[in-house]
Amino acid sequence: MNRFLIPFIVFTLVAIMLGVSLCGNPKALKSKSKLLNQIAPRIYLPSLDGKTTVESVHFKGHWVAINFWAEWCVECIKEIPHLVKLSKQTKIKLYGVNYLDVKDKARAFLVRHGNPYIASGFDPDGLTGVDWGITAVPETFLIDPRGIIRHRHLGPVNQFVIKQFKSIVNASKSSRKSEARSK
Amino acid sequence: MIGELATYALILAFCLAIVQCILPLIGAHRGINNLMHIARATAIGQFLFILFSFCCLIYLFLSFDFSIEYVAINSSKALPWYYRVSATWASHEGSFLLWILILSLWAMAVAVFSRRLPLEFSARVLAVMGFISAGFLMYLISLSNPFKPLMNEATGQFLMVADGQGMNPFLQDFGMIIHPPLLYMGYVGFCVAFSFAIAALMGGRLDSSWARWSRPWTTLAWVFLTLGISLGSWWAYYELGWGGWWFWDPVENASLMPWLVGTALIHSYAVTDKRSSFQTWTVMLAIIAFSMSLLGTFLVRSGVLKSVHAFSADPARGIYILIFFFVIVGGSLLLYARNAIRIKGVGKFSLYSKESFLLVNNILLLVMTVAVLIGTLYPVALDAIRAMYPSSNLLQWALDGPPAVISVGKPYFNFMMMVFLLPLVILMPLGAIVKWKQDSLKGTKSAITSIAIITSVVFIFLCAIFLLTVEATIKIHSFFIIILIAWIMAGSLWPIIYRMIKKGSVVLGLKSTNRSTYGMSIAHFGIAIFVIGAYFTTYYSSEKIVKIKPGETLTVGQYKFKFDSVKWHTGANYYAFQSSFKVYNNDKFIIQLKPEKRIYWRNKKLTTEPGIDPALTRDVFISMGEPIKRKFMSALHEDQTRVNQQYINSVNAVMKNEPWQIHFRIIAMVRWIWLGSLIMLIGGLIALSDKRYRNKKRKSKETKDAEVVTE
Repeated sequence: MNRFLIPFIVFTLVAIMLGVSLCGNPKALKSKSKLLNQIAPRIYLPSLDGKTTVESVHFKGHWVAINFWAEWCVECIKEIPHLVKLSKQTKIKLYGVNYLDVKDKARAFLVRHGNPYIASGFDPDGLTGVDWGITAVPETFLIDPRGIIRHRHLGPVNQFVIKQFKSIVNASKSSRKSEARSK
Repeated sequence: MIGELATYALILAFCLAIVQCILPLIGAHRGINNLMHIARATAIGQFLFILFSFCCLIYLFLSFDFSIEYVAINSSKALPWYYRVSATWASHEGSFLLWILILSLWAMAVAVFSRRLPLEFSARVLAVMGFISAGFLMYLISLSNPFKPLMNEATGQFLMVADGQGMNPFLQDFGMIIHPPLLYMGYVGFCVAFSFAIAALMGGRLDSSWARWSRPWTTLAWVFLTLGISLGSWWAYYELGWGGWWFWDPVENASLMPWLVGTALIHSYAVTDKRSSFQTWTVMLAIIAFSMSLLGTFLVRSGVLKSVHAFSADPARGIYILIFFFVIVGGSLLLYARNAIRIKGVGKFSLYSKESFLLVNNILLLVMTVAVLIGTLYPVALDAIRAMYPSSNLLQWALDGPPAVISVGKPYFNFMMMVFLLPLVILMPLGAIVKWKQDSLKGTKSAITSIAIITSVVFIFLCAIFLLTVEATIKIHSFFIIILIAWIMAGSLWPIIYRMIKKGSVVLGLKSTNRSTYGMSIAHFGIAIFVIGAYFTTYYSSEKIVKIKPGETLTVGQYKFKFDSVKWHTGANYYAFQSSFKVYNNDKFIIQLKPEKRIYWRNKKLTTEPGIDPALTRDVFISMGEPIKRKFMSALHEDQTRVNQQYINSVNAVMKNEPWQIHFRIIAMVRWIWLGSLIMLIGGLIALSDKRYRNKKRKSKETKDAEVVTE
């Protein structure tokens, strides 16, 4: 075979990959996530400020959003104002998990850009991230009061995601009401 | 009206581009001179039309014409005029217009300065550029026209708004005015090298003359790219308020990849030019360099990186760019596969020769590019695999296996760069002294010993400075780095020192050194400066985050900070809390810094403006966090109509004794990073001014004239 064809073949493969991911529907991906509608993996992490812990027990009985973030992630900066809105506008409790970071730098990040979280767990070796299937940050999970993952969002949170979260919470409330009524 | 005129000008430019692409190629194929001559005129005409429409867009911004969608989205009445000019390239459509303008500028430059080249060759070069230009013009006109009127898509009615949405506050900065044009000059500049390579492939003339012609063009593009990247890094440092200088953001990576390949290409040209060797490799690099520019454009502009990450982004745009990208790069790689097989290098070389060292340089730079590419595309790749095999067990490990193994982000990139950069800079001085074709260890022994001696002198000198000036605890690995820096410095200066010794005098030595050698020495010296900056910034910076009240003081190392006040500040189009700090070095007052926390009126975006005291050895960098009682930030959100002196006074009175979270940093030697890149690009400019290129011009012109006479 003509060895000069190799660059062309490599390039074609890369181009196909780009094409597939360009056409792929990001929403469809989420439905394929294994974690969706399952009990959320356990979290037991020391918090970034060292004063408390972030653990699954705290989440019971509340709608909780878990946001995985890192100091080295540029997209994470963009979503901070939206996260602030999320915690202000909804009753969803927002916890962070700091992923693959150095403690001081992560703390400095929150000082610089604002701290929207009730508390942030510190996951320096990414083991909790492995449990949750994190490959890149930011990712946000919405967990219902029973501890079941109801939604997974890849990428920075924006106003549309907040709307989506709200509608999921409302939908489940109304369905529960109707359940109660039928009983 | 003006919008329509500008669109019309773009369409005319598109027509010219089509002509420029087709007719000269036919001419070159059939040997018809008249058709080949068309290329030059169309290139110039195309540039003028695109320039016209670009000026129209600037005019629309200056005259607040909010009937144009792009103007309405990216500017507002409160925006000062210079930001309205730079708003022209603040967003997708406009920056694409700038991209194309610069492409046509390069094409025109080639048309004007390529008279000395064989007509057939320059016709082919311009035809390739015309093809690229036509493709992107079509994209601009059909899918992303910046002159699209603001209208209601459903009813087809034109809309009029009183004020625009305003510019992203991060972009309201001097660095952002000049950064994109310079970066694009570099990006698009590699198009010239690419077109030369394709033209040479088409004509089957891959000899050394081709490399010599495209060398200065590539160096020039490289200089622009270096400048653009360093400006971007400098901008991120002070404007984003992070105090870091490189973030491995996909957008940054998109500019770094062409730079790495471009650097490899510059070195590979030397071999093809001087030794008639590496031809196929150099052609390949020229294609890759421009492919990386296109890939960068695609990644940044198509939103593919965001398709994993966001809702918006128009897929039609991404698909168009991808298809066009595939046509250009795939087509040229096929052409390469067809024609490169026939080329045989003439220059043979042994293992210990300059050629070998340059090959190693090329390979290391390419491997670094691939590492950056993988890191950037990893999320995209994972996404693609998931989409193709939703339930494959075989690939499950790749999806749900330990993903921390290749995590995208700083740790991965820093490690990869360290691993490949070290051998690169260690071998650099050797590559500069070893002879072409064949050399022996014996032959270079004296040179290596001399460099070693200079290295030790420089090392002692640097160590002395280091030990005398450094205040922080000294780290052991610093000495290894200083040896490395001394080695690079000695190696880069050696070619000049060698000539001085050979001629027996400093002046004669300096005179006999040609500008290419100066360029190389200076550029390599710049790398040493860059390494100093990058290393010391990482290991000798100190920082403190504290809760502090106005009136209190804080000490970081030898620096003392006195927090004077937090006051309301009304800016040109924003409100801010401006704090004031007095900085003392060993109790001696240096400067008063005023970092800010801003909220822009129009889009209510919050930005942090750090207070920086720059110096050669350290930067004092203060950025404001939040007030401890977060609710006070809402004071800045107040509507413009309700802010009066009374309101400001009351806010100031409340803020008088409020504690804030403040981030203090002493960033060591960060200026050296940009100083190093500046020296590198000066080296590039000096190499560019070498007599060789100018003499060749004159000579070839003379020979051409002679030919005309004999005809």
